[in-house]
Amino acid sequence: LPRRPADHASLGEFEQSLLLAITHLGDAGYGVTIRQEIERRTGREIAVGALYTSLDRLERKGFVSSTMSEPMPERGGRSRRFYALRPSGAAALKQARARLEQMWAGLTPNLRRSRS
Amino acid sequence: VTARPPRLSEALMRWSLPRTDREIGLGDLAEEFSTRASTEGARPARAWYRRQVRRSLGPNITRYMAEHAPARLRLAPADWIRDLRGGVRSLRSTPGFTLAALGVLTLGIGATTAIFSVVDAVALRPLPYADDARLMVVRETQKAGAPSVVDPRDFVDWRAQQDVFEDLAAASGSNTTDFVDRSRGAQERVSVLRVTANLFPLLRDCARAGPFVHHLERGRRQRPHRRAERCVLAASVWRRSHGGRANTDARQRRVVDRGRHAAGVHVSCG
Repeated sequence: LPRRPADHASLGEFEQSLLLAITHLGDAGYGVTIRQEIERRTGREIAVGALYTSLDRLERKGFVSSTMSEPMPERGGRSRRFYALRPSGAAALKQARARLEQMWAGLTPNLRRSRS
Repeated sequence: VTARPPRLSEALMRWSLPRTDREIGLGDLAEEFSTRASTEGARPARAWYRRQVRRSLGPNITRYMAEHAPARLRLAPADWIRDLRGGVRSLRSTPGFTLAALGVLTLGIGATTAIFSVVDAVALRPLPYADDARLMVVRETQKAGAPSVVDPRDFVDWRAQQDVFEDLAAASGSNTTDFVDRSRGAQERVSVLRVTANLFPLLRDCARAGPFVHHLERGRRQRPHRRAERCVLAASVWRRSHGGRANTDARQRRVVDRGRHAAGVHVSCG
């Protein structure tokens, strides 16, 4: 069967984790800190390749913006690329959370139907 | 000394990352590698770096294909993966058919490989001698067509009277014997073939033929019982017994049940 094209505004679980990590980090969100933030909160090790593939996709969708720092000696003279959440990214995050909450509505945390 | 990331992994990462993210990605890895090396030590940091690169290759290549490959190829990996998954699911759902198919394939591939190996060795692969196309085997047969043993006196007459071939050499049927390496105290069973001394120049065995052929021919002038003791080791036996060292005294080796000493090493030119 042909694949259904992905909803442009929808966010996968990993994309949500990235946007939330960037939000948590504020001005300090670049590759290393974003990965460490996700690993610290979820216990899941993230590969650099997967990180930049998803960040590139989020930037193309217009959910994040990036700026380059000055070259830094501790990075072998390379720059950092800092990410910031854009309003469309924040809206997509809120929408994803709302969708999930709607699906959780009527269920207890241990997946039983709540008495209403 | 400052620890360095593993070079091969770094090169793989540099190669696989898209150009736009290359310096940033390598910078991230270098920064975290440096932190880990100073807190955990160089070895765990290198292991972490290698793991990162190993896990990043798939996403990097997929991304590169999505951005740079022609549209025809861009869709292909996803299709292949989907087809592959479908195939695996189908095979798992019918284990009897899968086992039968695997059995037939295994037998088929095994039989084909075995037959090809024999055909290759017997018919396709040239003999490991120069001018192998000019080599011929001359046999004597009985009336019924079965091969018979050539009388040595007949061979001497053939060799003296023929003018078809450059030369004739004789070889008797092979059997096995025990070869003992005195220096190692090792013993192994080897095949033995009795041949006339002119076989080696006839086969153009050039590499190390000189010393032992010279030795054999010199043996002709020795007393008959000494001459009968000479033998030649195959190169494979020579390599196994003392690593192919040319200066080892081959005469220290003795073929146990015949009392013959090795006189040289047979190395073919092929």
